[in-house]
Amino acid sequence: MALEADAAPAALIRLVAALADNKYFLGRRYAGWCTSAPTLESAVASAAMAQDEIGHARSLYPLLRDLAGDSPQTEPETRTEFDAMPALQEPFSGWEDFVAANFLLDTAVTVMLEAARTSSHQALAQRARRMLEEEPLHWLHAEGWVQRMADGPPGMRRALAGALRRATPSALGWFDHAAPDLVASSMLDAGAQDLRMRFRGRVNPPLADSGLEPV
Amino acid sequence: MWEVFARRKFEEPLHHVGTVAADDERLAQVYARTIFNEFSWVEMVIFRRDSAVRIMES
Amino acid sequence: MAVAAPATDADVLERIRSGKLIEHVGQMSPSYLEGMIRILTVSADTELISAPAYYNAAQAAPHLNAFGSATAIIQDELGHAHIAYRLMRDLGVDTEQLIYERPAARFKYPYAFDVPLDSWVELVMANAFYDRAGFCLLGDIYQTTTFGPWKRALVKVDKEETFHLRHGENWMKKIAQSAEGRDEIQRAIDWMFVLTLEWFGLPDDLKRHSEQLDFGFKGQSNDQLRQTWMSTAVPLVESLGFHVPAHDDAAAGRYVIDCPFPAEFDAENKRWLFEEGPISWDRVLERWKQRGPMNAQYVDTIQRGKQGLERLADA
Repeated sequence: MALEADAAPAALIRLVAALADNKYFLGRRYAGWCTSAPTLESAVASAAMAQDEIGHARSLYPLLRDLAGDSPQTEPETRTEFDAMPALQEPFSGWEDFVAANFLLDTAVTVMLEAARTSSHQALAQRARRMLEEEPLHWLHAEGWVQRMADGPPGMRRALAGALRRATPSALGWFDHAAPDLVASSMLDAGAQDLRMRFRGRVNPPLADSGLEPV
Repeated sequence: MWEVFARRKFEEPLHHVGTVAADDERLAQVYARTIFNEFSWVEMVIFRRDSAVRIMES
Repeated sequence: MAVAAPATDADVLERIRSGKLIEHVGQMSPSYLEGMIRILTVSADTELISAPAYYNAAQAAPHLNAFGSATAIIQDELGHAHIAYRLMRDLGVDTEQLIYERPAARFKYPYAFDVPLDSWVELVMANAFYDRAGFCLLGDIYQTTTFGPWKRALVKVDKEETFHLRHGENWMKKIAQSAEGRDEIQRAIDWMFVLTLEWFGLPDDLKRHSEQLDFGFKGQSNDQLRQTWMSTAVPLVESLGFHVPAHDDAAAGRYVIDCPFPAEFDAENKRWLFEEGPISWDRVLERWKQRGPMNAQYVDTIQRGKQGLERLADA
């Protein structure tokens, strides 16, 4: 508790801001495809996942406000200095980008939240645990589509491989937010290197099953 | 095709709430959960339609 | 396109008269099947096209929470479309072709959705007016349809459309608190009200799909449904101090439309040309057939992902 009484460390503020922004951007990007998904079922799933992410962002921005102090930069409507992954900056150009983001980027954020599950920062830990309840469904959707596209005709498989390659640097770079200070103060249970390993441990087996390159 | 069954209370029988199309079991789960979200169910299960053995039909 | 419907019209009518529902295509006659596919297509297309229409307007959501609610509504609409297309698929229709390959102009949703919703106010007015129209139509179908699988599926739809109406009403009340908001709502009402009146189709003296009534596809006629819609839409609007060109004629026990109806509509400027007086329904049918400004774009949006995957598969 002593930690929370002090001024919030800059690394924590950066982490919470980036979590909120990435949730927000994922939500917007998913929503952007809920009217264009290749099956009606996936259109519904995209809308549902978009709402999950937007809900998560809505719970994280108030935490950012508590940590960083009230300002236009802590409200999603007025914020301009977004810290979202490069691969989420533009709308997805095709369904393969949706699937790659769903599989790699959504999972990368999830791995970070898992590292905050037992955070010494109670408010973050609590939110992380609640958000994580909704993530297994996103993972199932992503895994299902990765396999479906990988098993498809060569052109589809190539497009997916390309989209995964484009999204990978964003996913791996994201873990830099797990700064050593955050591990030292038990706000996260692992640092960038370990989290990248956990992430690879999650995504590489299904990629291997589908005969795709590991990340 | 998958048949989706659910119930809101354990006291009531599972009943048919609809169908979803998916060639993958994982996707079928996601689709059933997100399409038939009108209630907070206590249980939801899916079956492949072609696994049904029809023993009576009028 | 559809699998054989082996029953005769007489079989179907006998089954319906004995109080039973039609449960599958084996119990249908060819004309029952054809009529059911036609009415399901309109319902499915309408739910489907509302998704891109609402999504466009949701971009103007005043805050993240509002955007989330709009996304929830879009999810419901897509879910409802899914239900109707899946029923058609079980009736032997190639729904993949129907959704992803059909030319835009051959979609069967009401013309109102071809006119863009450009603001948050127009989106919530669409919830208040268009979703209410859908609610009236589907409520009627729920009451009277003789097709069992659809009747059972509509329980979910009814519940969720009620939520959309409330969303529209609650936002109307909120926005109506400012003078600017009131002006914007009134401007939306001015073009959307009459467009929703048109939604219910030709007046009864010009049209009677007798099969729709005999087979129990519909309970109420077009004019009755228009009245049903006005019976809640007009009081809502008036209770908030807004004006519509219709009033309750208590003596006659019905609502009376106070503007030229049907009338010429300038879709680009979202304006009714009432000064030109009433026009014939033939002219309206012609406008519907030509479709409106957003038809091609919305259908393209819907078909984009599937067509993109197909292009990849061919590459």
